Amino acid sequence: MTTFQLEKHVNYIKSLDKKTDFDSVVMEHLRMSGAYWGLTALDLMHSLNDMNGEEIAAWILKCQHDCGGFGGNIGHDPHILYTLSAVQILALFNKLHILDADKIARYISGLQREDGSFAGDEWGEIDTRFTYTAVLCLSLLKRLDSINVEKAADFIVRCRNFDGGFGCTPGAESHAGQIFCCVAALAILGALHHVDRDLLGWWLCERQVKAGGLNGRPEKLPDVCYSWWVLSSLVIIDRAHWINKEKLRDFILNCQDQERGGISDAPDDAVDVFHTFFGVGGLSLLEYPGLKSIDPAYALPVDVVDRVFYGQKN
Amino acid sequence: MHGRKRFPVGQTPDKSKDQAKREKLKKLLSETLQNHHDRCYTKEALQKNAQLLELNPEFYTGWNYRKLAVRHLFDVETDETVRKTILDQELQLVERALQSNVKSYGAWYHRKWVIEFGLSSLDHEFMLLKKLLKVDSRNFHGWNYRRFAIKKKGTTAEEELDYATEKINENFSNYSAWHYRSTLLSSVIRDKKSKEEILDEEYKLVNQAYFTEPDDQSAWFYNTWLLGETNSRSDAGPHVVGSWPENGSIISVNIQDGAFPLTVSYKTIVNSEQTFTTGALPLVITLDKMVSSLAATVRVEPEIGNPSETTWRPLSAVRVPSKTWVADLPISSSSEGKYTVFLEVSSPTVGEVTSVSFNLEITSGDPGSRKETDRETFSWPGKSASAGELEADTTAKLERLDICGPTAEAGCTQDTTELKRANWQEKLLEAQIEILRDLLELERNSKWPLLTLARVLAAHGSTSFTDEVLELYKLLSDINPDHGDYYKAQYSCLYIDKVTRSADGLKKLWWDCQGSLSSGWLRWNGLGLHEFKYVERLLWVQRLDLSHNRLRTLNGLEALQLLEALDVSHNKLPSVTSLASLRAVRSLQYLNISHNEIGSHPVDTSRYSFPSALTNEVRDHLGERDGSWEIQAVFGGMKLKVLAITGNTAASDEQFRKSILKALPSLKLLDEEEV
Repeated sequence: MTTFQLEKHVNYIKSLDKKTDFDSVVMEHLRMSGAYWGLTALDLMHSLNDMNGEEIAAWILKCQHDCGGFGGNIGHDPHILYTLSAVQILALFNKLHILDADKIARYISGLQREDGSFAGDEWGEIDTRFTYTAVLCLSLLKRLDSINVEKAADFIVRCRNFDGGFGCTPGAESHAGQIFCCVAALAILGALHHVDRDLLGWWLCERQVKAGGLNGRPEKLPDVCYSWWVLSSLVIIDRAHWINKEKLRDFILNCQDQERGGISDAPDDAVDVFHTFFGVGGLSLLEYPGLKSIDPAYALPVDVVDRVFYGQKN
Repeated sequence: MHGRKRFPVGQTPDKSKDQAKREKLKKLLSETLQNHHDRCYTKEALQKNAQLLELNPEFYTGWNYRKLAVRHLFDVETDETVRKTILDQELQLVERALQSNVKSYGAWYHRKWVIEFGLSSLDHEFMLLKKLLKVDSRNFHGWNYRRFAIKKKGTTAEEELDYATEKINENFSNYSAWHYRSTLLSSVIRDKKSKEEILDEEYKLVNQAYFTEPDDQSAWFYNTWLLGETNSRSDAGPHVVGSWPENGSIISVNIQDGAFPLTVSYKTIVNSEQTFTTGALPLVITLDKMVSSLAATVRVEPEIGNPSETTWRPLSAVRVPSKTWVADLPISSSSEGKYTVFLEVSSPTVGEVTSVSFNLEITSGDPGSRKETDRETFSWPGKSASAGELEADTTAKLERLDICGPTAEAGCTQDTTELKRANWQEKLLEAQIEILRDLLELERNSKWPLLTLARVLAAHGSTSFTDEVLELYKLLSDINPDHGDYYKAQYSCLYIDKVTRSADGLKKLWWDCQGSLSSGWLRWNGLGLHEFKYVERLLWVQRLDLSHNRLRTLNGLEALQLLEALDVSHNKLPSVTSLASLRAVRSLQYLNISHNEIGSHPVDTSRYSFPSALTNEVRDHLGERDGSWEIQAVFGGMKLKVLAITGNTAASDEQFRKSILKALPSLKLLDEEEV
């Protein structure tokens, strides 16, 4: 059986920061999320201490705008997605206290619409991804009271479909990534009773294809990123035992670049930090030995989430 | 990178080409950011930005810059024709950008933003969409954009149905089109007559798909929606499905030494007796749907003591809404006499009032029956399923379930769940059953038709199908073992339904309890149960043995407000949080959770199944900082006397035991050792 190349993945992620190839420019606008994926994967592999938290925190603050929101990189516009990544990274380094939580909360609550939905930024694109982002970010900052949480949950419910899943907006088709956002947001809002666990759990477990990997919608190809989106949703609603975990584990392991580290979307494809994170996150949810366990809703290591909500362990 | 092949090990990629592309992109990006910062919207600046977005439409700041530019240009230019030209250029750019990345959220949103001005032709948009969905028929950005365009144009759902039909007929495997169809039809189905016709047509379409592509998931999923629509009732509830005391029961209360404890004996399916130390009689109402508040009144004739407002508390694992509600009927020594108690529950949606009444007789003095001892351990006479049996293969378990299975009879206690179905509904379901049986002749042991047949038979509801459905789930777990636990959970649920549907069914499962055990005791060990369902039919249970099953959660048990003793040893309970529902069972004194999987799993799948600080329902749980917040959250407030935890990984952890003892000051025995 293929084994997990922990050391190679750690080195791969560490090498990304210095890369200057074409892909690194393509990704420049979402460096904040890239950093979150890489650093969280490192933490799951017990290697966060190798990174300079002070330096990273200083860079993060340079991406913040006067409105309170963060851009994906220095000089890029503020957006709710990168605001969450910034908050998540600071949670990893136990540095949430350097943030002006009220200022960020004002930015996010300003993006909530009358119907409870959230826009991604001042330009008004609506998507349940942004609801998750808003809810998660405010929960980590203990500022959920700055938005209308009932309406936020109501909007998610309006995006629920006949198959038990959720889409981007009311009427949109169910998609595993979107389902993760909606289920996790409802979990954090204490509103999981809106989810039909058996109906959704069945749709989600049918995402597993014969070869073991998971797809994001019926009759699509499997992809490592769904190891996170499908599996975390299944864990939140306690239906993860409805899939074959061994087969999924082997699929993820087969997507590793055994020589140079990193994980790709499918076997033999080019690796990237996004799929490396979702692969490691998936293995963590599968209780792969030697990895920290990850919280399925906050998408941060469990010890980080517990530290945020319950303080330092003895 | 999605779909891009890995570069072979040992070879070096040609960097020079990469380098040139990289420099170009980097230059365009920094120029756009600079112009954005300087608010420079010259023709040249916009052209550079367009080049950038054609190369990489994901640079969201680039789209923001363009929106500001359009606003700026509109400030100067008020002529509508010129404005339209400006917007047309934007639409053309989006088209080019989508050619380099058809999944770019930023590009699609820019298009919507432009269309919102109302100056552009929608016909062009539909032409474009037609082309796109022809090439990439599952592109959800395209489908979402179509929904947006339809709304702008004012097309009705009826008109749009033709498009859905066209896409489905092109390819039965287009789940996006089936989904679209379900949303359109939901708004078309109005009155019963049109519903009947529509469903008939839909079944024809979906049946065609089964026979053409029997292995494709799309149509089979669509069937679940059709089934739900076929079976939906006009009186959607909520309805009262259970209560304690039951309607028509007789409750005798004996008060000793002035007030406490109360000894209650009652007649239900069986005669039973219980002692309460709270000085109150619990009243339980169970509904078939969750509600956020319960509109129920309690009336006692003649009036008892000080009539005060009865408060109903929700009992779900999540706080509200809840299916089960509890209230206390206070009883004092001054209230000796005979009473009738009326519970009236009104349903907010259907305006229906359900009445439950029971006779209450209050006396005082020593009934001389029960003597509680603190040292009493919780044990059952007779042989319990052995550990070896637990390890045995589940299929064998499933067979054993069948051996004890009685023939179910309708007309149990308070059966309001019986479906009142119209003739047309029944006809549709029967036609489907026939078609699926035909298909199975051709595709023997094929998963989708088998599963669908099981569901249609179950939806039909006739008890004569129950055993066939159980067989089907058993077969499915054999032929599709990857999802075996899904089928076994369905099996387990239906099995409990079957045996609890009638009093006779229940009594047959008591075969090893009769005689030596008191009534009010229920022993369901070694049955392969996955979840405890239909709890509303078992509200009278005082002692419950669910050991040697496959339970992963105790959800539902919170409704058992008379429960004193619970044995869930030898199950698959994975964590402390999976016990959370027991917090609401105030009467519980003996608990055996030994030989489960508590402490064996780093991933807690019940972490989000009850209120905590993580779910923002409880703020900073008791300030627990020793890593045991779950223990405090679950056990804190329980009044257990006896607890067994041995055989769990966590049980050998000294810190775990300490936290348990701290959370349970009332505990007398832990793993048979005095505390």
